[in-house]
Amino acid sequence: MKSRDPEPDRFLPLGNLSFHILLALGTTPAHGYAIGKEIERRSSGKLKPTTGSLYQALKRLADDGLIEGAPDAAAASTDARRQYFQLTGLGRQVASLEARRLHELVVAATEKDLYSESA
Amino acid sequence: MSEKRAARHTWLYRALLRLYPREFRQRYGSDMLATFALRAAEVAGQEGALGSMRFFLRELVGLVGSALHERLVWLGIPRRADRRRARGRVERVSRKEPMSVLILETRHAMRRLAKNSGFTVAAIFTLALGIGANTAIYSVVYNVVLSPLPYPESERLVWLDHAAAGIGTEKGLDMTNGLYVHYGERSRTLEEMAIYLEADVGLTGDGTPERLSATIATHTLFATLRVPPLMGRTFDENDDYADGTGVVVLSHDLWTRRYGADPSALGRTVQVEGTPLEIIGVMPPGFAYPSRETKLWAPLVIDPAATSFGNFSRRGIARMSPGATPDEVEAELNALIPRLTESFPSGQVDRVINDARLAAVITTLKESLVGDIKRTLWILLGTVAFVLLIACANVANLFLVRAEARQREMAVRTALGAGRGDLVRHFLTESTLLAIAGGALGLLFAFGGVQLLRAFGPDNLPRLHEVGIDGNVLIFTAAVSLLASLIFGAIPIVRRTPDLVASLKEGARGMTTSRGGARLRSALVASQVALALMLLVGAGLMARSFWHLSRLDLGFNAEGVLTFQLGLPRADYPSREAAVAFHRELLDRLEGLPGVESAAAITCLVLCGSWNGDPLQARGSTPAPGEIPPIVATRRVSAGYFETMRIPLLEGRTLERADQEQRTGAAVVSAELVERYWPGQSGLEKRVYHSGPAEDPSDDRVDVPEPPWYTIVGVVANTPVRELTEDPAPTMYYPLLHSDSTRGLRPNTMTYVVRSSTPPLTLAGAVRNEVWSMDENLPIARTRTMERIVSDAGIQMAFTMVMLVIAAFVALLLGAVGIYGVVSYVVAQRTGEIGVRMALGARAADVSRMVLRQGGSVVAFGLVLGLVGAFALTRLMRALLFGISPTDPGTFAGVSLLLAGIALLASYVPARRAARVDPVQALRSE
Repeated sequence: MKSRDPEPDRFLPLGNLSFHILLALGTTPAHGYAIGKEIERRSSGKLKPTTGSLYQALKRLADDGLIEGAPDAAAASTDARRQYFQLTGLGRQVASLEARRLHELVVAATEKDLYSESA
Repeated sequence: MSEKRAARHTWLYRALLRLYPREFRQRYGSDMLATFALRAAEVAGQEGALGSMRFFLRELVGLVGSALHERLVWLGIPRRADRRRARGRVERVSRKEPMSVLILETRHAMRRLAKNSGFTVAAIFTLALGIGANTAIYSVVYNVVLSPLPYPESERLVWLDHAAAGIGTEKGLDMTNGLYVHYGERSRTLEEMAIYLEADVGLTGDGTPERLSATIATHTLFATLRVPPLMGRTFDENDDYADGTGVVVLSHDLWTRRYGADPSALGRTVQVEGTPLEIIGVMPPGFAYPSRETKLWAPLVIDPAATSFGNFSRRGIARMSPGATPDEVEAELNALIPRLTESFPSGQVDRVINDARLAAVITTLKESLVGDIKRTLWILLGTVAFVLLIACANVANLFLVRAEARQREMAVRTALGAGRGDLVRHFLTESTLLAIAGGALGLLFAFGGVQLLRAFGPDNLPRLHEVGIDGNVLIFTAAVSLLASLIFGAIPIVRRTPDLVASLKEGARGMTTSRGGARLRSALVASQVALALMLLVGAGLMARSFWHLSRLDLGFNAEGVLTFQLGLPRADYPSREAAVAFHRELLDRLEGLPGVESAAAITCLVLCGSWNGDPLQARGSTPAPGEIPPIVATRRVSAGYFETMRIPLLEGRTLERADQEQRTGAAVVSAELVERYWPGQSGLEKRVYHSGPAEDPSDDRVDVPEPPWYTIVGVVANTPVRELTEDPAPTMYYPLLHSDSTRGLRPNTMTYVVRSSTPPLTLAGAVRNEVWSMDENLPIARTRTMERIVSDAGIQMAFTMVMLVIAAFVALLLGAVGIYGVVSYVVAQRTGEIGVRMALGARAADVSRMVLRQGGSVVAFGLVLGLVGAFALTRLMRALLFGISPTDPGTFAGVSLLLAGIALLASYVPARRAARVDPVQALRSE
């Protein structure tokens, strides 16, 4: 396992799937199936990671220290075999930095008349 | 049901999880499996079998892709993101640049493979066989089933069909003029609609006379398909044959063939069925609607204000409005059907709506074109995938043997510090190289295979001419090759790494086989046997279906009969008398030819596909109220038709010359007609009249003031109308009358049947001369033997059978080679042990029995597995089979015996060798 990276902006820009996973874990811990469903719902079905690519991304995020296992949630669930994931402090930081980065891009695009809310 | 299917997929998924590095698998494996199972159950519940298949394929690709990626990470090839992050840090010194490692490894692997050329050639050839077969069949599946039709926004095109539950018709009624007008004025879900009919027409007046396929379509046809002409224009609503001139649009093929692609052909006039038509346009080369045979298009004029409801003989297509679905269209049209009486307030329409219970049946145009063949093609693709799996198992076995032989080398490498990753890389590089070579050779095979398919595939395989090897197919081949390399390359890797010390010791003893290796090899052989058995069962079932089909009593004798079609232009033969006189004279002349036994003519030959039918009004048969009597196929025949075709006469007499000379009111019917109208009675002397419209779909202008009554004078055996395997059809045969004041139909187009004592095709020249000596402008069409017509009708089953038999043969061959290889290897490994046994008193027979028993148990396990699999899978073939159950015990037993016999033979050869081991020699070599 790698050590925590003290500089969250190293991880930017985040991959699409990674960002969606962090978003899905924004409020509560969740297991893989729920994360997948949430990503599918949020992207209106445009992003449908296969089980393989989802867990690959989860492993990478866990290795990088952006997410971690949530043993409490797992213990409370009906299926004890199921692993739950939650955001780490670093993960939360990285997600909000990515959101800010995207926001700045949107602002810039709006100024250049390349984007409007209604479109 | 859906859960069961999901569960079946789960074990496969679990097995494939082994592709991940162990660390990954231990951390997430069970979790992934749970997630996968949940999603699989969900998809199965929501999207059905096809959705599940799609989901499973996607998951498979995702799994293999991410596993490969994780393996690469595990091998020390860093991820892009990690590399980026690692910039500026100290690189671990022991790691070489991945690219140079790859090049070096490839070079080494190539050298190793070149040195071991026997192994390499065997592996490449085996793989090429599997990959080539898959690529060829996939190219057919892709082009026929998966790729969109060659029209803009083709997903919006639908096929307009109707069902009538009241007369037991589930589909196939197609359209009428009246429905076209009715829907066209009211539908909102349809943007554009067209109806058409196909006809064989004579083209004369401009070069040699010929007979070709024409489509008479409403002017909306081209707009519905959205295909503009290459040159000139297509017809519009003003092209209505007024002023005695019509227009015609030519196919690209006809234009190049007949006019040498000369642009000045536009504006010229051709005679189509004796009617002058002006050429106004040429379609682009690929345009082939409704079929590739269509050579010209002429307008079908329908006046919305004056059309009658008409009969169901027009085919219809439509373009849906954006966003509409076939279900919505169907719902809307069904809601419009009761309102038909607003436009057509006749009793006929009322009967069609209420008694026949007319209902619209809307499918996408693609589904209507390829729906029938889809299942066959998927089954074929599944079959060749099995062949590839067997090929992979064989190559994996070769790999295993090699790996075992090189165990000491590996152990030494490990001792010198090679990581597990290095060993894995070692095997994967070899397997990838082999797969690339196998894929390339396979592609060559596939090119040849596709040519063969195009040449010998059934004519009724839709879109076959679109099949070719393109980028999409190449991607498929690459993916299949890669997948194959992973499958057989991963097998030596998945195995536990042998214990270092033990292997060195074992090696020193010369006993290089390990327990794990032997088990794995046995598992591979067992699965080969299982796969081969499933293929053999499939092929066996098809072969027996085909055998049943060929033994079917068709109700006539096709041997020695030549058939051809003549169409007399209406302009030259304006009256019934003129046409019938021609037919009669030609028949006389044909019967005078040497070698000809008899000749006859009919409006629509056996298996012509056209029903031309309506219910019959029959005395003594009263249908229940609200029930419409069965539809009857109608034909006109010359005297001597039944004798020429050798259709058995069951009762009464056949039609004679006298019935033809003047109206005697005699008619002959098929046994099925009697059975349906007067069950249990004799059909003779029954009086019937035929109320329906004309036999010739393009001629419904004729009014029938008085119903012409007929008396049944004979009953003949049933003959098929559309296909060999159909239920018997009630058929009515009227005499080809010289004059008939009550029915104005003109039998201009007739199919001739000529029975000869010489091979039928040798008559073709003489027949042509006779026809042309009577009228040199007459085009002769479809000169074929009756046997050819019958074999064409069974060609789809023949095609499927041949493909399955080839696949099964290859599977059997590869399976036998696999068994032989493994048993011989085991024998070779155990030579020392066998020597000891024999030195201690074992007899040769004991030794061979021991070897056979070992091979036999593996084969038996494979057989059981294969029987279970075949039992589950052959049900998918039910629709393709004829006269046999998908779980036919005879086929299952026979095929198992065959495979067991071959497996026994494959292990017998090495067993004999084992029995001949000389103990002294064996022990000495120890």
